[in-house]
Amino acid sequence: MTQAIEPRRAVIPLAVSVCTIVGAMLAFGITKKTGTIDPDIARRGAATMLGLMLVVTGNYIPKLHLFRPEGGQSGSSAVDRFAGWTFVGAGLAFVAIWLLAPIGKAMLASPMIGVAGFLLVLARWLAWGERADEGASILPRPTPVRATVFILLVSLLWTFAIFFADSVWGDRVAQWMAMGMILILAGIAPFIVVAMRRASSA
Amino acid sequence: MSSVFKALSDPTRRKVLEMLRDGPKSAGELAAAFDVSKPTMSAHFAVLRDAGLVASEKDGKSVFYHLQMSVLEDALFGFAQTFGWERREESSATGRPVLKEGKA
Repeated sequence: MTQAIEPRRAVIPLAVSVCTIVGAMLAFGITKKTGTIDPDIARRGAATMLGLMLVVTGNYIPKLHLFRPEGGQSGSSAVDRFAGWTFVGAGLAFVAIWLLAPIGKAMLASPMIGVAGFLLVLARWLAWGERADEGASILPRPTPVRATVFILLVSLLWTFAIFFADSVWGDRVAQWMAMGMILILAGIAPFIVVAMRRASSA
Repeated sequence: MSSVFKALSDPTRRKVLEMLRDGPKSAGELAAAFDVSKPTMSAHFAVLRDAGLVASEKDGKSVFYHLQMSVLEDALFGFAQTFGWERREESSATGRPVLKEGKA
């Protein structure tokens, strides 16, 4: 069966939404620095945007067939659907916590929900891999859109971990973790480029 | 978004989406489950494709359809399934759900 490319009607709204959310996060950061709005409101606003990012990304995962491997093994669409619903649910819970809970508790509880969502999806993907045809790869076929969404999800996961570290170990650890994220992304970028080139030449 | 609502408003098209939840199916397999003419079925497929709810892939002479719904569209589909109007009759001979011809 031929491979379907990612539909434009998913890629364009996802790109526009992510850019809008990043813009809103920057706006909250600037208003916090300039003292235009209350720092706590700015912090809540920026964190809410982070949850919305998970909601928006999760919404389009089934449409982009993020987990579809080379050759399109049956059952991967169920993993996509599970991942989409899980990320949307986790993102909405993240947003609700940041809108309703005290900041101290939100800093601790929200990243736990975010990380739990990622672990659930990982477990579902591995469970599907166990049942998949023997010898067949379950690794998703790398395309520029899928690689971008993957990097976006890894960044979100790491940001949740930074939130958690900030509330448990303090600001200094969180800053080192932020530096670590940049190094990790720089480290995996060449491998993603190589994988995409291999996939496109195959 | 109106194309999505239009696609989900018809019980035949909703049944097609329900069948595709189990995995990709050929146009022939899908059409066999309904008591409607081939042109009508093609029109239903076209509406679903235009709304972006399904995607088609050619494999030899067969055309295979698979789901391509976002979480929001999936939720709307569930809502339409639960509260939507559905004309369904049970075939006494096969026990298979037979749908009357819907307006494409």
